[in-house]
Amino acid sequence: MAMDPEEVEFLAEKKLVSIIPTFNSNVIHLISGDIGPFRASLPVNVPLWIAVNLKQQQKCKIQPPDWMDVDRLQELKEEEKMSRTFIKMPSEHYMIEAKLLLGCASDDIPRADEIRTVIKDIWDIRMSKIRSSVDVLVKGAGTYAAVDNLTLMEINSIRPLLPHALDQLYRMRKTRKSAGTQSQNSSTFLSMNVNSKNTPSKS
Amino acid sequence: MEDSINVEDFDSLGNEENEETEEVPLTAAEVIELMEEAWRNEKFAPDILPNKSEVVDCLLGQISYMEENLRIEQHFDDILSFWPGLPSDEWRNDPVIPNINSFVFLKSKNEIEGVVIDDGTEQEEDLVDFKTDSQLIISYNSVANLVRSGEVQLI
Repeated sequence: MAMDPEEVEFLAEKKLVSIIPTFNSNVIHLISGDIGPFRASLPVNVPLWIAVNLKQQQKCKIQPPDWMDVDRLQELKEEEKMSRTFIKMPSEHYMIEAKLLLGCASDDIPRADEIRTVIKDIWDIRMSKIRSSVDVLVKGAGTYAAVDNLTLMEINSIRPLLPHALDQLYRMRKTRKSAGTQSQNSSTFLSMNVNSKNTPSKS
Repeated sequence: MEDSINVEDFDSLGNEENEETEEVPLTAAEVIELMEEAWRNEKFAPDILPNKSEVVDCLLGQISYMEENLRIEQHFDDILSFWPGLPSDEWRNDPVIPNINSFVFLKSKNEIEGVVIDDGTEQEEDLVDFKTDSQLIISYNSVANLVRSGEVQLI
């Protein structure tokens, strides 16, 4: 079962963002909780979807999250390059937050273009790691793998391909088992800590 | 929200073996969390999970309350009237059997030790420990009971 990118975005839009409103308003009661009160030029936290909406109506300025900073992101990019495994991103939904905030509030975010580029670079590095890990996982006929620190958007990018490939391998193992071939345990550890079963070649 | 909701028999949402029936006051936001958890589990599980009608009823109640609050009755009527009704009996002739061995992504909510990995060969059972917040791709039948008990979340 796949998840639409819109659904991943929906989940990410609950993330709180600090805004500086240009209007005054009492507390607003929403089903997911209260927001406000809003006082002009006093920062207040609201869910991402509200921040984007208010910004589009030019009713607030966005305060970018701490991590949305070129130097910080450059460091993360280097760290991601050096690391064999996936590093923990500063936000579980960094890609969506960046896309939405840079999309509507590039005037509130210093060096927005550079930020966009570095985030894209980090995404690309991680996607290439995912591709090589999936390759090893499938070739090694893995039975499970750790996907720690992958964000939902990244997991979604290997769905449904990876689960389907593993489903097929599972079927093949089952068939082979009923055909009576021996198999042996062995584990490989990759960027995705893969536990795999290899069938030794017959001597 | 200043109002909290009392849900009777709420223990059935979490631990089904829990015999004690307690009224757990939940905020609307917490009910939404439960709803979202149920949605994601149901979405990714190959089989049909236990019905969370308590959560749905609770949330529908909240929606009626909010619709007065927000004065957008028209919009909610459209959503609430979308109820596809019961399917015809034809499915009985051709039941769909889910592949419960299919692979799923999950996030562990707790430390869980000694999960038995079904690798399809039925020999030399592999065991794996989950750490809190660890994420894995694994065959569903290895973790189906953990999904039902709410110890892991499908993602």
